[in-house]
Amino acid sequence: MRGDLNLEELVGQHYAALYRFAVSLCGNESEACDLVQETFYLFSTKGHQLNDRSKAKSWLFTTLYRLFTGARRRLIRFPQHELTEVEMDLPEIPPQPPSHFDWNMVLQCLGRLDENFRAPVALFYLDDYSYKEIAEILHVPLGTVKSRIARGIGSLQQMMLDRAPVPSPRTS
Amino acid sequence: MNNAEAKKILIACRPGTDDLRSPEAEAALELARRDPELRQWWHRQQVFQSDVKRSLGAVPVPHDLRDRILAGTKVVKLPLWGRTAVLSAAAAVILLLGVVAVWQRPSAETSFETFRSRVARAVLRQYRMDITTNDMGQIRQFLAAHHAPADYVLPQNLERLPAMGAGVLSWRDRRVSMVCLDSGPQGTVFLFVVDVSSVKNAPRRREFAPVSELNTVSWSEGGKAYVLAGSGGKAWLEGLP
Repeated sequence: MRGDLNLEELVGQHYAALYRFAVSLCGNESEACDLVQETFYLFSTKGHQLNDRSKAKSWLFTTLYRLFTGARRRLIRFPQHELTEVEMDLPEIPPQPPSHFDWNMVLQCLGRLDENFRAPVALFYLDDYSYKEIAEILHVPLGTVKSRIARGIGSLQQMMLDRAPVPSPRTS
Repeated sequence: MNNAEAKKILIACRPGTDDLRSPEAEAALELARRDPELRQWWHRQQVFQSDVKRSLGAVPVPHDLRDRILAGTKVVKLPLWGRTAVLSAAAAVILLLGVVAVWQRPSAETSFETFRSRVARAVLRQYRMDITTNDMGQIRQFLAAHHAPADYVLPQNLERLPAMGAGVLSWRDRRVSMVCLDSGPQGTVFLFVVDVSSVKNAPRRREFAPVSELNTVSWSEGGKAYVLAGSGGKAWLEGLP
């Protein structure tokens, strides 16, 4: 295995998944493109500090998430709440999950999810990350990730059911 | 464990993954085998999980994004794991070639348009003032202390607006000053200042451009490029600088 990592190869491997993660977070194409470009730009300037090449992918996702939340400058607006108090208080789960939807509706509903739930739910679906990997990317405890995913999916399903078009009555 | 508790565990489990290998998930699955209503719900839940995954995987990616990323990443230093002297030497040659290639190619990502879009969207997303004061002298001192442009020239109409505070942003490793001014009923206006050498093709004369929900007026003078952004109308904003 080669010891170096080709940036072009890395971009090719991950830019689409990163873009989909970004657009799930911000719901806006141009902002998502900005986030992905900025993430790779940071990698091109700071990626050499990464000692373990196998961590490059999670580094990219973590960096993009941090850029989105603006952790360095914007902690005031998006405080990281620990959700231990709500773990036992998950929302009512709809009797049946929604069944007719497309990516547009999923993105719109994801965009309406609380910030704390949006990223773990997006990662949960986008790239088959394990709970542990999601916890590492988002820098939150494993239990918190599980509860945020469960709570987020419950809310997502309810939103999708609320938005789903009611089938028109058939006229004979 | 009852039916509702089992659902709360299984709702966060993807079929065919390790999500189902925890003791709680196994107990919930065991209950689903015995409970027809829960079994049916779990079946539909699995379909839902697969459909959402497929839907998100179908989100179209802009066709030119890959090229834009590569154009924007100046190959300053690639990560090297397990480097050796030979690898380092080879990397040096590659880097040199990369730098030459980048030098010869106009980079869209340091363009003034990109800068303007980035700072305006930063405000739209969320922002924080690093210093809150109505004393412009203090603001200049703060910005200078943080190596951000502090010797900006405020046009007369902006000089009259009360200052609210300021922040320091980063653009391509250069510092950008963000000065927040109170324009009364039109809300806060944001003046971004960067060294003109940090951006390509900064307009010399006042140039109006909407960026998403904000309007902007940009210009450059005295070695600085300026972007004034606010939510007021075009005529009003153009009258400020």
